[in-house]
Amino acid sequence: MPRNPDASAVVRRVSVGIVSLLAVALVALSPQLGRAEPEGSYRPVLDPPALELPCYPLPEGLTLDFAHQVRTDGDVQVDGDSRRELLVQYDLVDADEVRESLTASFVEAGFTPEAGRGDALVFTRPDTGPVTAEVRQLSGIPADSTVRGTVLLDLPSVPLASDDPICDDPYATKRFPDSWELAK
Amino acid sequence: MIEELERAYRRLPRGGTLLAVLVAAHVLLKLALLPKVGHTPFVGDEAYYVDGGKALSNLVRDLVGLGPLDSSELERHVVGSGWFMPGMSALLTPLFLLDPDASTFVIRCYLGVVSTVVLLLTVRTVRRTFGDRYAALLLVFPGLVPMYLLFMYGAWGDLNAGLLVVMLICHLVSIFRQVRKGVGFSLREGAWLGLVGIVIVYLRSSTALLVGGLFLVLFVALVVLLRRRERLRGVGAMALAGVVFIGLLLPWSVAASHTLGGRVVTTTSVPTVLANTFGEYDRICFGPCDPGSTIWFSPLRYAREVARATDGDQVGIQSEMSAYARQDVTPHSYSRDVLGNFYAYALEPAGYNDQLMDPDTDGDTFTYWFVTLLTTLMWYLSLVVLVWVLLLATRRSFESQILSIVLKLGLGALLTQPFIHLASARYWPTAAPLLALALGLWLQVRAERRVAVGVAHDLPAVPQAVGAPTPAAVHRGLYWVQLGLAVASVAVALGILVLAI
Repeated sequence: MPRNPDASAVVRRVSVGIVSLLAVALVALSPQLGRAEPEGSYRPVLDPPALELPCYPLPEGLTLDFAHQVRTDGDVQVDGDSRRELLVQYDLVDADEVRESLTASFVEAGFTPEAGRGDALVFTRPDTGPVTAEVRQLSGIPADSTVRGTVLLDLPSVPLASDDPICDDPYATKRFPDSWELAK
Repeated sequence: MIEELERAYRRLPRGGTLLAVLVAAHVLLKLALLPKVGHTPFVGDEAYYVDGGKALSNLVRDLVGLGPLDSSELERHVVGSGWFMPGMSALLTPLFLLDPDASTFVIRCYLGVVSTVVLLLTVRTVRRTFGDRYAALLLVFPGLVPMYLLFMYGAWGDLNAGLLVVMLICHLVSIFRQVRKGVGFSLREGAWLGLVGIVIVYLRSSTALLVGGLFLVLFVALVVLLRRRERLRGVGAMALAGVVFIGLLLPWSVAASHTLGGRVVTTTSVPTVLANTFGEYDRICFGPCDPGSTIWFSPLRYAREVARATDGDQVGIQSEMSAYARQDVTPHSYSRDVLGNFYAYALEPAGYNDQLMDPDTDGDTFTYWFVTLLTTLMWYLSLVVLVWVLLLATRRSFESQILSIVLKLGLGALLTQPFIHLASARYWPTAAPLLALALGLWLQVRAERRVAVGVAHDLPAVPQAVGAPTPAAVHRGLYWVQLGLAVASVAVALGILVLAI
């Protein structure tokens, strides 16, 4: 402890004064010193929803008229044919309402409903052939859950329809390379 | 007793000299480690704090220039995902005001200087409250722990928060000394208490439990131990502490809630943290999350996508995701995860040297092993003191009793982290400076045992204390409080072990 309390108080006051002056000068001069550029790696800009991108469109005229998010998209081999497997989660409504909405959307897009196998809805149109939609409610969710279940769509494969660079981003298209692993 | 203590002290160098030597040793060792960490790219969350500092410096520029505020920049880089509070960003702001394009090296040097200033301010407060010995211990542990010195160049808030927790403890002990005499504390002291508390929470939001808990304990002590006017005075000062705390928390809570569209008090990370720590990762996104990213960013992107699709709030959706992922948590799985967290929290103190030093160039050097081995040795010894202080129930002196209780509460609150959060070798710097006080207490209790059977507790009563509990009653009460806390610690430890088997 300093022996002379008065001297200590003076030193403290002078130090506080100098620091305050420097701080004011720094703040006043800061606009002249340029602008900082944050990198933004901790809050990436969210890509638009996958089905609103021009990359891999749904069959012409088809829209999904319920709240949803695409989880995965991609081509799989079924009996030697390439088929598009699109997994979508639906939100805020239950499975029956989603089935009704899907049926209305397919009919509006010119598809004809066919007798399904099991729970799957089947629709057909001359240019696409038969397509199916399997609606599954999640188990163990509360009645007011936001996310309620999944729709697995089996569609004809489509080629990449745009050269927009965003189509190369798997997080946007939800077409993930096989080499990408789930985090642990 | 006094003579013996004086003899013991005469054998030591004068306090001031010893402290000056230790400060010099701290600075030299820290400078020696700078080349190893100075150019290390920012690790994980450090990137957020640096970006936040840049955005806040732009806010100051806009305010000074009377220009329009770039609110989208603030929302994206300061509020971000609401995972962290911007205390460290605010600490970095002056640097970015002066040098908006500061290099990694300059930023790390600045952080190194700031953390040493905070350490020295803490040492000064500890010296005034507890004396030279405690201050010297703080300069040795953690002031000379190599890994701690590396962390001092980091942008995480854990370390500075820990030092400020020690300042808060000093302040609380000073207040308790007054309260014990039957005297309340002033509004000014109350405002300072609230200010230190909220700064700690801004630096590291997980300390909210510690700060809130200690405030609550102080409030109860005021009501129990003070009478009439002094009680009113104390409660008034405590209320002011609360007003300052909440008043300074509100701007953040309002901004974060407004930006993220849900109710945010401190941070939004708890639901995702609980899900990642105890739940099943392949259920967090109501199924597997997107591959190729981390357990933090993939669920976040998903929550933002669902919020956009449903016009909902991402904070609420993260809670739903967390609940779904944790449906199958059992007491057994939970306690095993807690034990795993304790291992990561406490048993690999040098675990971050691969991140802060370059393993390719520094992986097998003398410095690397010096940092690893000395840190491990010093930290493991401190763990012995941690266990001791958690179990301590002393009757010797009021000073020992009150520090014992505050340290038990403080360390207990910090050690809740492994019960909630995936732990890592990055979190112990918050608790480390408290262990310096624990070590000081160990020496103090030892000295008290050696020189006297019991220390007098019959302070002369001041007029304000009429009707307050007698010193002997307070003394007994504090003993039972310690015993209760020690039993609680043992019960929790045994409970977790038994459930995990």
